[in-house]
Amino acid sequence: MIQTYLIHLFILIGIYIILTLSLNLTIGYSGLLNLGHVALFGIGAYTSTLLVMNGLPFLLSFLTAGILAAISGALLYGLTRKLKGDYLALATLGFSFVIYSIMLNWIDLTRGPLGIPGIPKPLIFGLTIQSTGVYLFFTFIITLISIGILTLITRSTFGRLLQAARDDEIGLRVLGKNTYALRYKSMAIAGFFAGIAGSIYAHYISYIDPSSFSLTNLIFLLTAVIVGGLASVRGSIIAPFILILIPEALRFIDMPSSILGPLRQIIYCLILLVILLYRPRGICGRIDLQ
Amino acid sequence: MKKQLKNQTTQKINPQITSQKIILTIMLLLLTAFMFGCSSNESSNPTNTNLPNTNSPATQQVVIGFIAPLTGDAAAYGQSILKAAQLAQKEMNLQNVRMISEDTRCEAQGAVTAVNKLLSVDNAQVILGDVCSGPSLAVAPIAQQHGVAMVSASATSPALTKEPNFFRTIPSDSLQGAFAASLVKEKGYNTLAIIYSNEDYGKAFHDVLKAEFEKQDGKVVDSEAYERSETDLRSYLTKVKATHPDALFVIGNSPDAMVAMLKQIKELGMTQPIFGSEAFKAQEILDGAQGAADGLMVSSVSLGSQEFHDKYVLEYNSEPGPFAAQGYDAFKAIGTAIQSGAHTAAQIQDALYNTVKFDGATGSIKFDAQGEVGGNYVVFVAKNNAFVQE
Repeated sequence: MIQTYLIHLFILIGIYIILTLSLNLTIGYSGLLNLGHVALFGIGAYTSTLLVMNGLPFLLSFLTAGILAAISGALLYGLTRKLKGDYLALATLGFSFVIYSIMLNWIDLTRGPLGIPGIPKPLIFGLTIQSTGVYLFFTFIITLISIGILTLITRSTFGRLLQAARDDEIGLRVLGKNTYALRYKSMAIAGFFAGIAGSIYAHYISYIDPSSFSLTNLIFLLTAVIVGGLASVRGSIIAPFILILIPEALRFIDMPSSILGPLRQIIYCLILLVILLYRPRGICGRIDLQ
Repeated sequence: MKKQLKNQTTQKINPQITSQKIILTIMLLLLTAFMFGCSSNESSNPTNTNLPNTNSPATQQVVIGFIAPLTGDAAAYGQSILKAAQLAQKEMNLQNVRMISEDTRCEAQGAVTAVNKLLSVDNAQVILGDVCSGPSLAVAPIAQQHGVAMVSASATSPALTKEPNFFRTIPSDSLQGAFAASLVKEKGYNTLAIIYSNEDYGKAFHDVLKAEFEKQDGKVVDSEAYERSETDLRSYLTKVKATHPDALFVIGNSPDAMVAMLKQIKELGMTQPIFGSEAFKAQEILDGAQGAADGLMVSSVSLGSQEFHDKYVLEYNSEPGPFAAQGYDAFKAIGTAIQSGAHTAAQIQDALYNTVKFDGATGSIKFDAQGEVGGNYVVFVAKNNAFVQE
């Protein structure tokens, strides 16, 4: 029976790999300290949920979720493209709060703080994914495709240009490259993957409310990117495993229930601190955060 | 040049090797953690099964999964319910029952993970929890897939009524809203302003209160929603003040925000009588507000009998926290089901629907066809740093 639990964890890990990897494309590869990623995740989750619940087929909603999040990502960069470093971080963080507020207060559409319960399981080619085992398979396929595409992107000319723009923006412009266009694309791609991750998340958990896409989750994603290492595909795949499995492993250490919650978090934090103490650039990181 | 290039490539490889080492050590760490858990389980199991088991026909071990926020801003509720449930467990002295607690942080994802762990690793036959309504909505379908019943002590959202495997020892908000509306009306106030925390609990409570108050020919002149943990509420209160309501109704479930709200109402010179939701009935609110809470009227679910109160104080040497009486009753409901011979998930759910009936800390407990209990409400007034029952 333990497999149900493991399946659940691996589904979560799959979702977070897509999220971490796409966030790493903007933070690590493009050098944009983008704190609006969790909002794109939320946009994907809500879009897919609302479309499916209004009768659209799953696959179409799934792709629309990605596309809408991609448009939002590009739009976010359009609004903040003149900003750099800390200022960009603050502006994109603001975007996260704005989207959070919309999810919370546009009650007619999102049911606000009550959340949307009973999200149906995906129906693909006439088959409903009921069992979590099949859902894991579905998540696994999507995760593999995402890893594949994002790895190809980072290794392509486009990916190298992104990194060049991160390291020396003026230099690249002198060579006649449009760095804005590069970053628009990078934000849109990251948005697309955050959106489809949102869709997978919503249909798996079957209940979404604005608090699922709040600051706490953003901090988790940032931690994953930093622990994994900036500009490292491998790091972004390993980090969700570590960040999700360590707290779960701590569940199996017997401790008195009165201190169990806080104690587990203390141990978890200590492990993270030790990792970053020995690997300040993250597990596989190669660059420092500007 | 070539040498330099070679140097660079070797430098690049080195960090990868060390990173592999680190991954290995982490894997080892995880493994040892798993082993720890297994060995301690083995040592605790025999002591349980070796005990003679005369008063119950079922010798099979029953696992109760307890889920609640044990960390985060709702942890106070989780800890309070956990303590009360442990008190009930100790008192009922069920030999073949183990309760395993997991933290949900009051988040949907945390709750789903906790329930999956309890159902598939510990094979829990029944779930006690969750504390918050949102996560409860998220996990109810999962528990249902496993055929497992859930008994919550504090999730009051009306949406939970529809879940077939969901029971609660606290009345739904739809009942409390109706009670609160008639209380305000009875006191002779016709216009009301409502300030509520913007999350599932606050919003649902507000909707029912507004509908019920207007049904009784009252008028809600203003509704303001604040973020649950917000502590500067002056902008909302200023708006409310401008509408000159006869009375204020404040709904909250985060102590910091509630204390701040009471103080700021007085600061702004508002003299209207204040009615509060049940979470305001806590000593820490009075201590924090220091006089600003005087005259506050709170409609509250039953706080439990004097007998329960005495037992709790004797055991923990402190006052029972919020929802403690409901938590006690939730465990007692499950315990009674097990005592009656139920030991599989289906039998427990069946017993909860049909045979469980007892006098608990909050009064007589008998679940109806929707798994709900009737509402017993009381009114408290804050006077001189203490709550007096009206």
